[in-house]
Amino acid sequence: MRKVGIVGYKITCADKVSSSREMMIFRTTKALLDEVGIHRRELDTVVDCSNDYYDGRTISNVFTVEPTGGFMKNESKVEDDGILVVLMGMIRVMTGIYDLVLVAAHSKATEFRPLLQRQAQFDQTGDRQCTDIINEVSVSALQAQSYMKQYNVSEDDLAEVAAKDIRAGASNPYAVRRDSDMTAEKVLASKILYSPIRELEMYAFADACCAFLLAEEKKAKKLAKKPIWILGVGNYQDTYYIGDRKLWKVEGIEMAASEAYKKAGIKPKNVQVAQVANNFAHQEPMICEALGFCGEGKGVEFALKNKWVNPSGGTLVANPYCAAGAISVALACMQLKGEAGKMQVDSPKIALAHGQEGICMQKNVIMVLGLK
Amino acid sequence: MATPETEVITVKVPLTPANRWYVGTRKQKFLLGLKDEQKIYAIRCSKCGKVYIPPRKICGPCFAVMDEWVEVSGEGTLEVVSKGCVSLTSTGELADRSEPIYVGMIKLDGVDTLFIAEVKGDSDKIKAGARVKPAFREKRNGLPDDVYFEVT
Repeated sequence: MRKVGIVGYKITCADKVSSSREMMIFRTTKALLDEVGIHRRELDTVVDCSNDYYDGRTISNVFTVEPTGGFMKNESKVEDDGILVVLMGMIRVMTGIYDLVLVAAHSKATEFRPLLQRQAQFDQTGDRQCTDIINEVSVSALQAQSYMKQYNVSEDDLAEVAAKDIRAGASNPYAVRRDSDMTAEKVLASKILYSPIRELEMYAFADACCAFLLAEEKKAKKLAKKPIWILGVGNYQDTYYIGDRKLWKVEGIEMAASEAYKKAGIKPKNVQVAQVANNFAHQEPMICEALGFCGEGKGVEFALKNKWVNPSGGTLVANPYCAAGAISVALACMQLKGEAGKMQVDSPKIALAHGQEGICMQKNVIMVLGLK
Repeated sequence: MATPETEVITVKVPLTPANRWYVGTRKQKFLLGLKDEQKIYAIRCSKCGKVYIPPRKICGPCFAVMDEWVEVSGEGTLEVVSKGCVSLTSTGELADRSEPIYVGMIKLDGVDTLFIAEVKGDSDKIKAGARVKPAFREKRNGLPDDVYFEVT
């Protein structure tokens, strides 16, 4: 199998990007190509990632061909979380057909009604209409309650985790929610949405684009001084029906992580920095457990103790739909390259990125990245 | 000279899909059961024996079509519950509710999966472990929330 390297990445992420989506994408991809020092004509293929429901138009990549650099090229789109477009780009390189791939994931929450359009992920033949009982926040609250009940986790525990991430957000230039003085008391004092989830325990909306250049080994070494290698990936899809799942754990992550570790030839203890998609406060400890970083029910203590878990604050501090998982990968790359600024943890050699999609983490992708 | 980019013009395009979805025979019996019969139907996989609610056509693990209907009493146990203090408005905001709503996951007797529904009753009694029984709304729309549960 061909080795796949990340030769560059760029993130644009803010509470509001005051330009059209096309310009947001163009500025991001142009900056990336300029930084790596190539022209778009050198790209073999381009993969876009967004969601027609969020974009408000069908086959929405027909409008992003120019800004992604995909004009008159082999171009396609992934309609899922952004970590899937990195995976798609990787697979394209692995086929041996393409040597250099640009992928870009994006959405602009300021241009749509995030929670309303998110409601479209529920079963349209019934669940979607029952908005009082079935919406993204209510079902996530049921997941939080299941986790709390199973492991005797308290609301105070979850507030501590949220406060830790919001404090971390203060060091993250791409965070929307940032407060270096955040405390669990302040989190607990924020408005209860669906118990136990409070306003500060639910992700912040954002506008963003995240782009990558992926290349086969020789090209990657030529284009980048320090390429980041994708060492292993796991991708598992659980059922839509949360009533079928053991909601206090994330079996999809357990399986995806196990596969990614195996491919990378590592164990959970070898991971030195992890960027995970903690859309809600309770999900970060659940993810730590599913990744095998700690035992079941020990996730809160673990996440609070280990600064290398979400040094950026994760998706709780900025969750631009579609771009989120790609940003997890970019932040992990940043850590490996020692370019994470105030977020930087001690010279990591192995990083892990996680992306999720669907209600209560239905789909999960785990990506292990390294310097060798 | 380039125009400084400040605020984009907001173009509002109404998104009003006019789909008329075929809900499928399994879902149809379930929804009409709630609406017309005030009964709760689940479905059993004849391969693995698992009883699912809401009913659907295919058992994921077995990759098999399910045909075995199970009528359940609707009595069950509240596994977890969340107190909702907001509601999702038609414009996508989370607006404060005047009265909280309790959303529970219920383990119905004789069913292997959990059902999401509103739970009503004395708020002190609405907690995990409580026994519940079904009640049907006066006005029913053929939706899963035609049924709610009362703590006993």
